[in-house]
Parts: sequence; structure tokens; C-alpha cells
Amino acid sequence: MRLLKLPLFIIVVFLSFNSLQANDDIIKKLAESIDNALLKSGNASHFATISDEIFLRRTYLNIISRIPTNDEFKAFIKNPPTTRRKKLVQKLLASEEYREGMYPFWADMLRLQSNINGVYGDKYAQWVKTSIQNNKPYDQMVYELISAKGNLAQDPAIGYYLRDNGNILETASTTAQIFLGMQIGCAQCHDHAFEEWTQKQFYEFSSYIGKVSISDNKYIGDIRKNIKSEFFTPREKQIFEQVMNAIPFNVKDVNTKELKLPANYKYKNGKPNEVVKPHVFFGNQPEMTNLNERREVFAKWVTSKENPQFTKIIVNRLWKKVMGLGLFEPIDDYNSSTHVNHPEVLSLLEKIFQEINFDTKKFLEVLYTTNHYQVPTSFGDLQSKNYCVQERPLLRMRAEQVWNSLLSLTRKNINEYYSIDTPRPIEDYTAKLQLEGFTDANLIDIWASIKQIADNEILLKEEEAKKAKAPKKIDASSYMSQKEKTKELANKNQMAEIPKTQMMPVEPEPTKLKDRLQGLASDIPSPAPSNHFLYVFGQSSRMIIEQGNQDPTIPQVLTLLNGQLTTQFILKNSYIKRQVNQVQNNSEKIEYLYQVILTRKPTDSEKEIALKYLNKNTKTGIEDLMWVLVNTREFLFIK
Amino acid sequence: MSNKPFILSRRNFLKIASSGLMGAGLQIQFPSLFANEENTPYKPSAEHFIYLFMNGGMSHIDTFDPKPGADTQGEFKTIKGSNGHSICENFPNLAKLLDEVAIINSMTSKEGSHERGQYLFHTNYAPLGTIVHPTLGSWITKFTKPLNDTLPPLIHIGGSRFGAGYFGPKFEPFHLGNASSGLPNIKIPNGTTEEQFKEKLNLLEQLDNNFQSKYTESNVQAYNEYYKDANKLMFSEDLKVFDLKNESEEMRNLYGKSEFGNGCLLARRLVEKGVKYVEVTNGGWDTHENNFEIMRNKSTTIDQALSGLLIDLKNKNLLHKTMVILTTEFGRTPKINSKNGRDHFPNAFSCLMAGGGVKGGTIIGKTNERGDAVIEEPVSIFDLNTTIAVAAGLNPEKEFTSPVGRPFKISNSGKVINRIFG
Repeated sequence: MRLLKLPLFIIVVFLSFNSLQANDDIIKKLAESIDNALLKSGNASHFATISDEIFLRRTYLNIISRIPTNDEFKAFIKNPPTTRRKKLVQKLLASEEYREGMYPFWADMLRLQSNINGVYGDKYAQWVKTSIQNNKPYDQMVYELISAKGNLAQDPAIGYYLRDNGNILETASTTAQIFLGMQIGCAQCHDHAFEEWTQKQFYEFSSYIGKVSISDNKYIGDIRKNIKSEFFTPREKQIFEQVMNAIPFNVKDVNTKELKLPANYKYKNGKPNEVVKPHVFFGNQPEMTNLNERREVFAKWVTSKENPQFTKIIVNRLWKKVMGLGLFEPIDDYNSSTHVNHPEVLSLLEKIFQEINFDTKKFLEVLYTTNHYQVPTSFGDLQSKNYCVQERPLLRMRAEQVWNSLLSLTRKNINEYYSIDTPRPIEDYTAKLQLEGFTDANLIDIWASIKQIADNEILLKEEEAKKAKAPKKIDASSYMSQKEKTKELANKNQMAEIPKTQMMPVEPEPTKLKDRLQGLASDIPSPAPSNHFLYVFGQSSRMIIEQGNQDPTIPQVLTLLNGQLTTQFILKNSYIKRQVNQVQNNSEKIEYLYQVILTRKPTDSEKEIALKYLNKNTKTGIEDLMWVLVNTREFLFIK
Repeated sequence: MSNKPFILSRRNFLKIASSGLMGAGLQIQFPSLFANEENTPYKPSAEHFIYLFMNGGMSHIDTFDPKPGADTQGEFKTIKGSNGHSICENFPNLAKLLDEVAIINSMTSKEGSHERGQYLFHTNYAPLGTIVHPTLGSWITKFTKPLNDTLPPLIHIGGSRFGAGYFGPKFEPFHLGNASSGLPNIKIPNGTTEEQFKEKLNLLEQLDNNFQSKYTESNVQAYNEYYKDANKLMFSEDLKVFDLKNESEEMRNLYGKSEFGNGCLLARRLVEKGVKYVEVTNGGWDTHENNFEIMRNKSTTIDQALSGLLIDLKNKNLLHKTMVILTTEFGRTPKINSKNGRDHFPNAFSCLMAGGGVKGGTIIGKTNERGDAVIEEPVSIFDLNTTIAVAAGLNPEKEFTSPVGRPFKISNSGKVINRIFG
């Protein structure tokens, strides 16, 4: 109100200098436009909304793939009610853990593997994560994937082509599916049974990437001639073979290579082994002056704002990520019998995403700002086949969300689990070779470098063996507080009189996680091994597109009941265990655990039941309660 | 071209079969696909399957198709078997049992890559980026009645990654890393008694009651059911089947105490308890270098374990209804390379079958003198898988559509190897 007393021009100046405010306004307006379109299309007058607690948990899980800590809850509540939700969304989108929320989205779509056909794919995975974190515009990212060239060190995005082992028809098929929502794979072998596409059209479409070759053995002969591998030790030989295996992978366009119709082509519109000319079967034909530039031209066509499918597919994917269900399903099969719910809303989303130039974070912020995002979850199965405007589906946490959430209970700062410092000398050396290229000089160098890598491995093993034998160092300050504590206890035997600060145990040295398999979900090799928690909980094996699922299985239940994570790591000496030990009375302990695990306060009757149990089981009560809470359906599902 | 895939209805199928069109030339009659749904005069020849997969490409010349006297012979001599056929000398125990087994020496394929070859063997289809085909075990367990209430009908021992594919998680195999470890996470952690565990479960039911009664969504309900089932499984007597210590020392020695021997022993125990399909994987067969030393060691292990399994199954009167298959993704080059090894060779290779209707003593197919080409009775991977499916009572020509609408048949144009059933 005070503002209104100022002259108008000062207000305008104030507003235009305050770009953050202007940005917030734009986001708000866009969100409102979506809400209004949805209400109109769904014949509703307003949206119901969820409590702060439910919003907090739902949004943490959705954006950074884990539940909030107690401290994070407190920080959230501290903000004034009118801005706390907006501030939360902005904070999470800007956080480093945003990567945890988006990486599965991409990895599932790209079938990203850490080991692509025997070649280290970490560089490719890293490229995806960096692109996510830097908020690379979506169209640019897709363009870079389709037009990738060189070796993994020069352009890690070539992983896109390595994935299908150079099988161009497969790559073309997956490109059409994931970015354009068109499942034309059947047409590899025959005219499509249900849709209009013919086999010839599929080949014409594929021929845009038809000149791609993925490996080049040019240097291998030279290297093998010059390196006498019989003088290697067995381990050095292994390392050498690993390096040699990775070197040939080099994606480039070979001008003499042409895609031809198959030898058994049976339709009248072409001849077996006939060279196909590039042609797309919908939208405008890409302009091509030089037949040798076709990949860039194709990439541009796929990612163009004019392409009728490109934006439609991604906005629906992002909508599904945020709201739980797409406006059309399945999200990558848009065909003549697809039913789109609320088509005006879909069009609006396309328009918005293009207007903001495919800025993913901004688009997500808009979606998270809508009132529709904040509607309650349905109690039962969603009744209607049509997209429900007033309710969202109750979904189980994805594998990555369960894992990261449980991990977050074990340490104060979960990011200590990320970027394990295990050096990868073989991959790094291979990358160095790939970047430098091959000369006589580094041919000699290969010999020495491989020996060096092997020697370093031996040294490292010896160091670790020494460390394991050495007596454990006791931190002086922790020793002191323990001593004080014992002394005080012995004298007074009344814990309540000791000031809490003196009692506090020192946070133990963070143990360097040697095993990547125990790290944050996005850092675990993809796919996870078949006995890993992530695999058991339905993480995509990255063998087919979008294979991740949240289906119930018995091994999952056994893992929660008896697995190491829920019976060892969380219960014994975890961060929350230490925290709950500092709380004095049982009632508060129960509240703390409910807050941290279920993001809410216990009801009176729940508290009563829990108290009764704790009084009866004084030794294991707290651990049992922790175990129980992570085994509830309430924990596993997202309200 | 027809728009809809032709799906055989049961009535159609029976009609065609009786008119001889489908059954032409086939000595085994097709049993009903839904064996548990209908009275049928057709019976499957095997109630159980033990599928032993040698990962990496097992050399055929150094196992079941030796070439004495040829330049491709290598370092091993032969030993004559109980049926007059000769196999590699490293299999003395198996040689005595050759009239119980059938050997196929004319396997032939075009897949020379490990990943593709293994995928083809397990699913009977070539890999595609957009679909995952179910493994044969999933086909069989999906369409036959389980013989045990508590134990999973499909178990993989030794790390096989193949699974239910588009059939969904309900038909996913139980994965066991190794035979000694048992089902993962099945035991209550140390320090908790059964009594205490049940009390904890009780607390869980009480505290989750609000949520469970309010949220009736079907996946929530499924989990509720599984929590009850897991409970049952954990305290079930059936779990003892995983503890190999329950076997005598004599029995342990019959199989040999190698990891693979343990796997085979566990497979017998599981089959005894009614498990339908057990796969045991054994790796390390990719002998590009030092082929003969490696084969000498591995063959001894396999010879012991396989023979132990066959003898044991026979003694327990299980062999006639348990089909044992030992196979690999391809063979190895008859020509020995410069590192005293053999390289990938899908052109000709061998596998072995026994029990479950298989006529012992049969040799299917032949390769030439050097072992580098099939000259009689070629058998494709599709033929092998079709044969196994038929032994389970499945109709290999029945067409199914995957969730995206693609049609599939188990046979993928493979034909039953009739002669193997006698």
C-alpha cells in the first residue's frame, strides 16, 4: 500500500529493474494461463489444493528425487505462507540435486549404459548430466545428439550412435520414437501393419543418418605392430586390450556409404539393394543442398519449431513427469488412434515451450507453479480414462527416489555420496589418446603409459593394505567430549543437567565411498547390476526405451524388510539415528521420526501406539520404529 | 497385406491339428497352450526344465564333436561313450552316460556376438532397441500351471540377466547370484527372533492402517498382499531347499563342490520341490587364448556336475519328466589361432539334451571332417527353442501380441527336432 503513494514512474522503474520479480510474474502468468485452459476444458471452476506438508514431500521427490530432511522442512516453514511454495520450487530447480531428478528422465529415454558395447560410457553419462545441470535448451541437446561426431573424448554425445552398435535402422527407429513419438520400427521389415508408413519411407527417413560409421580401425594396425604385447604382464595386457577396444569408436559420415533397400525387398515401389534418397514422411522436407551434410540438416528438421511432433512430444513428457500422467498416453506413440485429453492445453504447452526457446527449467517452473500441480492425489484407481483435472494419480516412488530417500536418512548431507573420487586412469588415458590423436611420438608413449597405469594400481593396493592394518586414529575433540560425557554421567547420573552442546557427538569423518554401487542413483553404473536395490525396484535396465516401472514384486518387499539398507545402514549409526538419540523423551523421538521419514506429525492415536511399543521394547524400540516407518506403504507412495 | 495378425483360437487350432495340417510330419502332438484351463488329451513330456547355459561360446570340437586326426583336432584325444559315439576325453563321466543323453552336433546360427547370441538363445528373437522379448523360461512359466505354492516357478542361478520382457514383472525370474547364497533378503537379520519380527510386523500394520484403509489404489493393495506373502515365504519350510548343507557329503561330492556343481545340485533340489524352470549359468568359455588349458579345467567341472545331475535325477525318478539342456551361444573356430585359442564360430556348434521325453543315445546332425560346417540335419536356435517349448506343452505357433501390438510366436519359424523325442 505504501508503494501506491509513490509516483507511478518510480513504480515502473522499480519493477523493471527488479528482473527477478518480473520473471516471477511471467512464470505466474504462464501458469495461470495453463490453469485456466485446463479448468475450461475440464468444465471445472477451481482446483482443490494440498497441505504444505504434502506439497513439500511431493515437490522434493519430483524435482530432486528424495524426501526432505528435518532441516529442510524447518527452512520451508520459515518462509511466509504466500511465497514458501514458490521459493521452494525455485530453490530445488537451482540445486545441484536437480540432476538427480532429471537424469533418469534422459537415461531411460536414451537407454544410456555406462558400458556401451564394451566401451566406457561414463563420458556420455557425464555429458548428459552436465547438459541437465547447465540447463542446455532441449532442442540444442537433441541436435547435438543427432549430429554428434568424433570419438568419446572429443564429443561424448556420440554415445547416442554407439548405443545401437552402428545399426543405422535401429538408431533411426529410436530417434523417431523418443523425439517424435512415432513408432516406425515395424517398418524395418515390412509396410507398417496399422499405420500408413511403408518400409520404403522408413528407409528414406533412415538414410539421413545412413552415412554414419561408428568405428575406424585405422590406427589399430599401427599400434599393434609397434607394441609387442608379449612383454606385458597379464594385467598390463588387460589394460592394453581395454584401451585398444575403445579407440576405434569414432562416429563420422562416410561419403561413399549409402543406405540401400534390403536384398529381400518385396514391394513394387523399389528394387532390392536400390540406393534410397533421403525423404521425411511428414512435415516439410528439410532443405538440402549438399547430400553430404544430411545429418545436420536432419537434426535441424527434427528439432525445428515447425516440426509438428517435436515440441508436442517433449511437453507431454515433461507434463507427465510433473503431473504423473500425460495428456496422451503412451507418451512416445502418437498415432492415428491416439486420444489427446484437453488438446487446447497441449497446444498451449507447445506454444509456451517454444516461446521460452525450449528452456526446460523455466518450463518446469511454470508447471510446478500451476494450481493443477497442487491438486490432491486420488485415493483409489483413477476412474476415468480421460485425464482428470481435479485429482492426480497415486504413484509409487521410482527406484531412484526410494534409493536416494533412504540414503538421505544415513548422512547429514547426501551430496557427500556424489562424485566418488575413484580415479579412472584407463578411461582418462584413453580419452587423452583420443584427444591428441595418433603420432609416432605417442605410439611409444602408449607402452610406457600402460605400464605406468599398472604400476600405479599396484602402489594403490599396497597403500590400502597398509591403511587397513594401521590403528584407527581417534579425533582428539571427539575423545574429549566422550570423556566429559562419561565423567559427567558417572558423577551426576542425570543426563538432563548436561548442556546439549557438550553432549553432542562429533560427526564422524565421512567415509570415502569406494563402491560406486552405494552412491547416489545418478552415479551408479547404468544399468545397475541385477542384485542391486535399483534393479529390484524397477529401474530401467536401459535395454529398451523407458523400461523403468514401479510394479510391485516380492523381492522388493523382502529388500525393505530384511535388506542391508533398512536393517543396517539406517538403523545403526546413521545420521537420523544420531539425531534421534539426542532427543530426550520418547514423544519427541516419535515426532522427529515421523517428520523425517513421512514428512508429517503423527496423529494422537499413532503416537499412543508408538509410545506403548517403545515402553515395552526399551532396547530396540527406536530402531524398530524406524524400520516400521520405512516399510509403510505411506513411505513408498507419493501423496 | 492383412491388417490384423491372425490369432489361432483354440477351436481353430484343434480343428487344424486334427485335420493333419499342423501335425503333418510331427510325431509329437501339440498339447493345449493353456494346460491348466482345459481337459486335454495332450500331455507335455517335461514338467521341469534345467537349462545350463555356458556363457562365452563353448568350443564344440573340444567337447561333444571331436575331430581326431584332423588339423583342427587340438590337444585332446577322444573317449568312446556308452552308445558308441566318441566325445572329448575330458568327459569320462559323461561318456558313461551317453545312452541317457542326446547330442546335437549340427547347431548353426548367424550371430557371432556374445550379446546378440545369448539374447537369441534365451528369447528366440534378435534384439531390438524398442522391445525386450521374454526369456523362454518366462514363456513356459506363464503358460503352465505352477507346481508349488510358495516357491517361484522360474529361478536363475549364476547371473543370467534375461527376464520376463514384455510379459511384465509377474513373470520375472528370481535371481540368485550363486547357489550358496539362497534367495536374497529372505532371512530375518541376525539379532532378531521370529517372535520379535512378528511384533514389528504387527506395529507396521497398526501404524500404516490409516494410509492403507484410505488409499485403496491397486498397487497399494498389491504391496499389502505381497507383505503378507513375503511373510509366508520367509517362514516357509520350502526355504530349506536353498540350504545345500542339508545334503550328504556323498551327494555333494557326486556333483563336485564347484560353484557350477552347487548350482546343479540346487537345481535338482528346486525341481524336486516343484519349481518349473531353473537356469544355471556358467561363464568363462570365451577361450580366444589358451583354449586347451582352460577347457581342460572347465570340462572336468562340467563333466562332474552334469553327470552327477543326470545320475541323481535318474535315481530319484525325476529324469523322465525333467528336461536338461546344456547349450552355449556359439561354438569356436576349428582353426586354432596364434595364441593357442579358438575364436567365435556360430557356423557349427554343439549342445546337449536329456530327460523330459528326450530319447537317450541320439546323435542329431553332423559336421564335416574339420568341424567347420554342418553337413547333415542343421538345427537352428529357433528349432531348439521350439523343441523345448513343445516339450513344456506349449503351442509354438500360437501368435501373441506384445503390449505395442507386435505379433510374436514362440517358434519364430523354428521347427521341432522330431528325432530327439524318438
